[in-house]
Amino acid sequence: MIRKILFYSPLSIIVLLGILFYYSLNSETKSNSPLIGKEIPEFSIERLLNDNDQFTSKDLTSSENINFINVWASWCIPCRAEHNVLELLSKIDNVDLYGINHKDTKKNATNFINTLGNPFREIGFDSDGRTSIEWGVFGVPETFIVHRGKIIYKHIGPIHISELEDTIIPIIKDLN
Amino acid sequence: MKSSQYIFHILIAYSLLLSSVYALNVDQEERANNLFKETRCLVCEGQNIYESNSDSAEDMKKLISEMIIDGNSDNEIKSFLVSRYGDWIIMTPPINQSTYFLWFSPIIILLIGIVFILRKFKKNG
Repeated sequence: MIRKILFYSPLSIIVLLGILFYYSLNSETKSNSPLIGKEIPEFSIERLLNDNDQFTSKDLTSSENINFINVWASWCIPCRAEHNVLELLSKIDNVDLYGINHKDTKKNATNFINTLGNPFREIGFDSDGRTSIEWGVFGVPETFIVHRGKIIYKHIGPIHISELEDTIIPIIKDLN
Repeated sequence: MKSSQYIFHILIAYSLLLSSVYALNVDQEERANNLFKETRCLVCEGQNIYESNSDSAEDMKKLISEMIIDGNSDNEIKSFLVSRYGDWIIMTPPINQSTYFLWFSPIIILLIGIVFILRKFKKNG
């Protein structure tokens, strides 16, 4: 019996290690951003629809409302699909939706907003993608929930209506 | 102006433009290339940004080059990237509490194997 256990032990150790490494590899996914729980990164960028002053991190810390920051681009097809959900999100009480327009042209971005509607309170124009790197953005669209200056949650990819109902709205209720 | 002279002037202007974007000296360029090799591409995960020509890799190269010019050390640049993207962004996992097992388990398994083999030899001998 002991001989049998000894005989199979290397194989079982390897299988166990395989399982452990598999879970460890998947534990650090992209949505586990190191920024969650931290203060928002400082930034200052042009506004897309208003040339007068800059859209800055201070805009996101000045209100008690729950801030959503959506990183989008007019050339991003999933962003178009997500736009209706963002319109719904922007109508929720105590929610302010901001946009960061990622590596776009002003003309195309403005056309996008004029055609599909503007759910954003303010839009920053991040033409060189630098602010997106500050936010640890991998690609568009991505959405961050910010409350009292801290990043609470990060969503990678377009928000589907089911995700709005099952994940995002419960977070809003919790924060309220 | 002859057309060859005209082309020559355009080439000079173009190279001046490029060097003003990445105004790195030889040492800085070497540091930048090493950092590019250590930084994972955001959209092509198996590759580092040195090997990638993707738009996001180019943005990251530009950022790293600018941080070098601004006087940041290699560690400061890596810390910045890790603070934004996690340990994932560095091609070689760092040695810390969560990766001790990853780094040291092969040595432990090797030692266990040696013990097994030695015991087997002793028995047979």
